[in-house]
Amino acid sequence: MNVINIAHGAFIMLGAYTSYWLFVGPMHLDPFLSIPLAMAVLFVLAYLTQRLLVNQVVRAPLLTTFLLTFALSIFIANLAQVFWLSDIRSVTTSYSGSSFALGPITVPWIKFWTLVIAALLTLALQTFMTRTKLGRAIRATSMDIDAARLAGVDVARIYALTFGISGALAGAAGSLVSVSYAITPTMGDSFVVRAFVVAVLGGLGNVTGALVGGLVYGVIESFGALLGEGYKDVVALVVLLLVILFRPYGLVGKATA
Amino acid sequence: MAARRRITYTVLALLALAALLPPHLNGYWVHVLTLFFMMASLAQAWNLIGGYTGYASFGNVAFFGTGAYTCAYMMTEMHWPFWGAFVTAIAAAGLFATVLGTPILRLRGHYFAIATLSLAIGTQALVQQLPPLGKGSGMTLPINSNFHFFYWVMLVILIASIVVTMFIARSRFGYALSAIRENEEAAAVLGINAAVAKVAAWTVSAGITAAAGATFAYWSSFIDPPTVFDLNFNILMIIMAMLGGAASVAGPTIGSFVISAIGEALGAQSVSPWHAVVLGAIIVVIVILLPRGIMPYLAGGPSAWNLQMLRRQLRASRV
Amino acid sequence: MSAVAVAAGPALAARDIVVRFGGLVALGGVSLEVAPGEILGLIGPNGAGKTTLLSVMSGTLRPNAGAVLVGGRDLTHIPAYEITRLGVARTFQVVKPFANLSVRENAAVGALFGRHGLRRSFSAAFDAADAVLERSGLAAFADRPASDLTLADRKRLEIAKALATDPEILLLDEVMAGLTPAEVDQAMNLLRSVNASGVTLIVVEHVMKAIMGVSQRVVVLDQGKLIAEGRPADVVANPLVIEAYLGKRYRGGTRGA
Repeated sequence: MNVINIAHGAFIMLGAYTSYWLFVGPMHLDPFLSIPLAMAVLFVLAYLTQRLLVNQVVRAPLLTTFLLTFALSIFIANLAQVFWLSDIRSVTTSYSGSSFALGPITVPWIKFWTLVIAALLTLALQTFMTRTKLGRAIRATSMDIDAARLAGVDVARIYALTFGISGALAGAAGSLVSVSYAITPTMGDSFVVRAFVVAVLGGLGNVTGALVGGLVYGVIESFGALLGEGYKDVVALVVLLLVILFRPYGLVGKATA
Repeated sequence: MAARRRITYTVLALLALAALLPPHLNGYWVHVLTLFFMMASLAQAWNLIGGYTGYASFGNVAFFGTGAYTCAYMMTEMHWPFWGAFVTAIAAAGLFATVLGTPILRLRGHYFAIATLSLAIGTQALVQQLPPLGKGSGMTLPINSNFHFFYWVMLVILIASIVVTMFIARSRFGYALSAIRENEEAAAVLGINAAVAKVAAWTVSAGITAAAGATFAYWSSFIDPPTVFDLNFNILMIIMAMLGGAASVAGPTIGSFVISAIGEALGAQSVSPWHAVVLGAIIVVIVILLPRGIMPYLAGGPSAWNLQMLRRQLRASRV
Repeated sequence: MSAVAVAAGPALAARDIVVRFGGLVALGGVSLEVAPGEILGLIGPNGAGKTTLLSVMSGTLRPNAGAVLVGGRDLTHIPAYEITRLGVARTFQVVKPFANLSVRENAAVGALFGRHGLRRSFSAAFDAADAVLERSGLAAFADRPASDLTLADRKRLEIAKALATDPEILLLDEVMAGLTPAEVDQAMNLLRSVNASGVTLIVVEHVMKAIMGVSQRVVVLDQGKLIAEGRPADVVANPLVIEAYLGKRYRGGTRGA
């Protein structure tokens, strides 16, 4: 849809905090169960953000959206810092440390379920995009705003909805990472870059590609760690550069231009 | 565009006058102005590749860091004097831009943005791994407490960047860049070697950026990767250039001035996140209302026409 | 071909041009020649490969096989900007003005980088630009931004930009599309005057009046192959050509334009 959302990291952070507060609050909600709630909260937030702010600049050069969402990410992250301080929080559940054996490998339960849920959400998104009327409207709008409008699509609403879905997914991601990573107002930063790398690896606009990209990236990052913990990022980014230069449509994507 | 030319000359005149200020200012203001000159230079440099050529680089901060670290290395390990290190820093960044720019500038839109973003992050990550560069703990440089010296060096870099932009804008090279920005395919069929032009623009941009980086390193006496490869720098460069008016000669300097002034007014010295919250909000408003920056209004006609232009721009950007 | 042409050799010769897009054969071995100073019309139903052929000649597209010979050199191995500097210029079907530059500056870009561009001084280039604008009837708009122009004027600007490069051979891609009959007449006159000054023209057109009125020779493409060649009146009466445009008479339905 031509909207590069730098604030995606901030949305993930909000999702993580949502799960955190639901976990330590009176309800003691398990983080995996709080996923739908985090998704709902972020959906609304993202929908409103798009409707009121980002929609104003969608047809402006790409750079404008970039800057707008960047400013938003600063706004959100620092607002979080004002209210929740920079203290590192974490969500530790009763099963945080446990794992099961798969042959010679030990698989932590949390990572396993994270993978399962991520796969399910991807499948759900893919089905939504290809099988529902709304999903088709979104894809049509992303191909040609004016043609979609002429076909009767309420383009402003579609943009807001798409962003809302993106926000919901960020919320889910936030819930999923709340059990594995430290929760701070600036945690979003490292995720945004990785999100972009994965998206490009899988092919921009390709839903299943993103899942494949994520897996590939995870493997690359882990191998990169063999060179030394710090080289993880270097290797990942070199790979990204190479992919962009030689297969810009992603490892999985087909040239659609 | 006589109005724009007048604006450029006014800015240059004001900057020339600023050279006389230091004896009359206290240390705080010398510091603030030096920082302003630096950010404005970075914005001017960014404008060459981002504004004129239309390739929004998120990797220019990599050149800033390269300049800083080259200077630090040459001064500490090779014991060179500042000016030698300064020139080496510019050459290093220029080479970096030429070599990596050749493949990267073949990309467009999202891909170019992401590639340059990873260039910035990747360079930082690499520097963090190299022992001669102090790995992650940073490098110290010889101390020079003559703060007026740095004030004047940064001021000269800024003036030089404006003058360079001015010459480019009026030259054949400048027209090639503008044509590429407007429509690269059309530019090619009119005889413009776009690949060479783009790389040349990025190289010049890198050189100026590295000059500022090298000076910053010497000025601060201590640099570490998170400081000199800070992506927020890059974003600031872009916002300043866009606010002032990308693809204009003095726009980035004017934009820097406005943003710096706002930062000062909000209390730049405070570490409170509220400062960033307000700045973020202001940038949101600016980006929505001024997609072309201030320059069209500064250089334009009577106010009624400007309001109409603003409304037209807003309507054109809306979904 | 005229006697003059036979004596001098072709200005441009395309030999066995093959262009494939994946499985689709856009051009299946097309050869043609244009004599110096000639106006060659290139017609054919939509999808015949006309624009593709022009793109190969101007260096915007590399063919899978074949050669384009101008002045003894094969253009298919030369980048587009160098081809222009050799004297082959083109216009685009979807016009590409430099929207934020003035009309004069648009033409000046061509004058600065075209055939003699790099040897010209700045002021000489701007003078040449003004002269071209005068010929194209755009002198009144010289200081206006190109985005201010109407479609018809933008098409004229497209031609003016190409002319400013001082070409020996000019490739025109559907410059008449979308013009009123009066504007078509004006465009035809412009083309004739350009040709009179010694420029060889290859004109891709759908507007029959223009082709008939301006071309000395016409070549017809259909589905990537050359199916007819000759004088305008002869070609239009050729049953193969009629079939290409209108489909087999008794099969019902229409194929192509």
